[in-house]
Order: sequence, then C-alpha cells, then structure tokens
Amino acid sequence: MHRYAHELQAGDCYAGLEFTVSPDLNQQWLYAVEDFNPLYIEGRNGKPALVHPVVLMQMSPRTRSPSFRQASDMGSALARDCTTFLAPCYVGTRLRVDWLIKQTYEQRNKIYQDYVATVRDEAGDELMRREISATFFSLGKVKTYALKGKS
Amino acid sequence: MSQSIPNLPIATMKPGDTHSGRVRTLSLSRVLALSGGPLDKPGWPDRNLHTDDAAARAIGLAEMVVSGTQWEGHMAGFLVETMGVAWFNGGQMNVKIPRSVKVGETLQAKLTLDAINLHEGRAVAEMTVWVENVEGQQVLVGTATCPIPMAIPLSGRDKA
Repeated sequence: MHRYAHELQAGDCYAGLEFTVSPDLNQQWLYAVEDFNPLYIEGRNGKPALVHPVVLMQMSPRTRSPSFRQASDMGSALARDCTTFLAPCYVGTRLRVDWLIKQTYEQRNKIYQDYVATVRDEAGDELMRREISATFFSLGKVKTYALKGKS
Repeated sequence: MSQSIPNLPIATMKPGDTHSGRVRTLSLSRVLALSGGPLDKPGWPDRNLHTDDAAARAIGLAEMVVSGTQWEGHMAGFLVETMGVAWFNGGQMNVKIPRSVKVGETLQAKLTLDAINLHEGRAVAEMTVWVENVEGQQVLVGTATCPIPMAIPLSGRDKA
C-alpha cells in the first residue's frame, strides 16, 4: 500500500509521469496565461513550436505523480521554488517527470517537504529542474508522525 | 524568425532599469483553462481548490484561490519576452508566493536589471523579479538570472 505523501522521507521518490505536450494542451495553457508569443504557436527556424514554460511548471508539482496520495482533510501548497530551464522543449516531445524528496521538516505547525522535479525528453536530456519547497497543512491536528525519528 | 535579438528589451536595458510586462486579469475562464485539466477530459473542469469553492472549503479555505503557477507562468513568459530564447538555455528564477490571489484580480509582472556579471565565461543578467496586483501588493517575489544572448554587445554595461 502506498504511503501518504506527507509520510515520505528524504530519499523517497514519487512515481514518474510520462506525457506528450500536444499543440492543444500548449495552446490551452497559452490562453490561461494570456501569452500568444509566436514562438509557442509557429515555432522558429524550421523547428516546432516551443512549449511555454508554464506547461513544464504546471506538470512539475508532486501532485502530478501517479503515486501522490494525500491524506483526507489535508491540503498542500507550494511555498517557494527555484526553477532552471536547461534546454528548449518543443511541442510533440514525449516528456518524463521524476520527483525526489530531498528533506522534510516541520515549521510553524506545517510539514515542509523539499523535493526536486526533473523534466527530461525521450533522450534523457534534462529540460527543466525545479527545486520546490511545499507544505502540508490540515484544519485539525498537524500530522507530525512523518517526522518522528528524524535527527 | 519571430523574435530578433536586437529587439529584445534586454538589449537596451542598463543596471537599475525596470521593465514591466502586460497587465493581465485572472478571469475565471483563464483560471479554469490552467487548473481544470485538458479541455477534452471527460467531466472537465477538474474540481480542486483552484477551480471549485466547495473543494477549497473542504480544506479550510474560504473560497477557491488561483494556482500560483498561473502568475509564475506570467513571469516565466515575461522573462522569455525580455531575454529571448536564451531563457530556455540556463534561465533560472528563484521565487516565493507571499500572498494568494482570487479570481478576477489583475496582475503585472515586473523586473529590475540589477547587474550583468560574467559567470563561467558567459555574461549573465541578474534581476529582481516580482508580480504585483493593482494595489501594488506583491504576489510573487524573487530573483532571476539568465545568460545574455550572444548577439547583444556588452560595451557600456556593468561588467564584472
């Protein structure tokens, strides 16, 4: 049985996700962020249209993982992130996102989970790396048992 | 080619200059377009704290809140407008979201060029970035760095 997301520890991974950015999805999210730069629609220099950065960012939170399982009455939110774009991503590319938890800790009655999301293309080349600090919060008692035994 | 390097805003910016993106309103349709899942998914939109008041209340929020990725996406697109495709080859932003945003709010991404320094043989723009609402309250704050496109001359700039 999968553990709840807030029970995972440093070194644990969420299951990876593979997907292809279609022109429809790219353009849907271009509409969402109101950005109609021709780079994302027509492409350039004979190459396909570029995938807008928001697409990779939107697919990189841990909640996208097939194994992400959140306890009832808990929410999660992104606190801060450091995102690095390493290579252009083109529409039609098959992508894989992997998540690795770097550390967990408790602060102001919230569980923080720092993790790295990596987006790679079919060749395994990194296109984007996102270091994310995210929280779990609850209306009731804060669930701290994931932190027991930590140094 | 839809974007020539000399026309990029970074080509004429000096340290201390501030550049602003377009004003954008986070209408419900744009919020649903980002957070509701693919339009062709059965049952669209997905129900979550970004798309549905009931789902937001279930986790203790008064109402749905816009996903921070939405205006972080504004910022990323604004950095591409400013820096060109160089952004995709080493652009980095380090940000946090100090306050939530409700549907219907109007936001604007901005940046200040702090310096251009050489890093591993490349000229890199160092910027302070933020997104603010119409009251001037910041809803995203942070920094960004990006290699300068090679065709932009560095003479007269603040080089390390």
